[in-house]
Amino acid sequence: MSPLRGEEFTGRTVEEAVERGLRALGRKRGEVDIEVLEKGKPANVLGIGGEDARVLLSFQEDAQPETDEPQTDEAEVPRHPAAERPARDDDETPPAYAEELALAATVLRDLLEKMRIEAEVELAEGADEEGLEVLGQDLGALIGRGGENLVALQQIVSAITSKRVGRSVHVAVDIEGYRHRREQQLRELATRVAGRVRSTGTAVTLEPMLAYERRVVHLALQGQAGVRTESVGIEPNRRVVVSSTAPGARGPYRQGAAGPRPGYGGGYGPRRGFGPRPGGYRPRPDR
Amino acid sequence: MIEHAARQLVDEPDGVVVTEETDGDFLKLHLRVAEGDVGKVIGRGGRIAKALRALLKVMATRDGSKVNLEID
Repeated sequence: MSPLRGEEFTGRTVEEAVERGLRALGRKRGEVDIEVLEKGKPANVLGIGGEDARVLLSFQEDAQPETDEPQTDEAEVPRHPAAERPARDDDETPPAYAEELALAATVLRDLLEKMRIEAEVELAEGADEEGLEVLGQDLGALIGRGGENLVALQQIVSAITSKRVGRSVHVAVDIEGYRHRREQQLRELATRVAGRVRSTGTAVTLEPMLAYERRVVHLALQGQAGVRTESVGIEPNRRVVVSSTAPGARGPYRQGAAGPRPGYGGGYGPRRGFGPRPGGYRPRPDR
Repeated sequence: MIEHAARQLVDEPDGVVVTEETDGDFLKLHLRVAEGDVGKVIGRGGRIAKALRALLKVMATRDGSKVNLEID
């Protein structure tokens, strides 16, 4: 049986998303299964608050050669791996220079003070990039579940710093070595999983991760023989799939030990039926 | 904090107004910025707004209150 393949497409309306998808895939309407993931909402008068419609088009992958690359998102592997600095976040902006980093440190200190958080800010030279490190007591809440508040802090600091220096810069922020440890864990996980995929030929789907975490995994396995990685699913349940490049290898139809939720990643794997998804794939914006 | 951050994100810091509305232990913040600056505090795909809310929540959780941020 030829493998079933699915890809997601977005548009302002369901119709537009479908049209776009059919065009991108070079398929006719009758050749694909259309599943509406999200109907989308029109934006308000200010042009904000609207949501894109998302559809999943699945089809039998037959003799037609695969011309398009696997879908990547902004968090994925840079297009010119050698030229890019590794371990960047989901920002496509260049890292800050030293003097910009000093300014960013001031920005971060001010912000923490306004948040009434007592902590020191130091310039830190990480394993792969320079950044800022917040040091202090009880900073767990500031890191947040899975580091989500840390990412928020970094975004605000980056945005303010960018505004101040007049160009878009990316400021890496760590808190008590959290990110550093997490990245190390992810690299170890990636290597372990890659070993298993190589020996068994079966693809493994990792647990959902933040954009920067997925990037770490992609980068860790980039250029490694015998395996390839791609992200599937919709935020916040987007996951990395590590699959074997060996001929005849099994696709990511079965979950590895990493997560017992088959067909949950979206896009790949057995097509799930209609109806509610376990856990919901995308929370409503908290406005 | 919101006022401080917003002022540094926009082109017209003087246009930034934050008003509070309390309802028991529930605090509602209204952030108002100059017309051309709305996008700056919302960010691409709402990222900045989302990040501001996340940081606000860190503070609220610590203080045992609930905070809501409206951008209008």
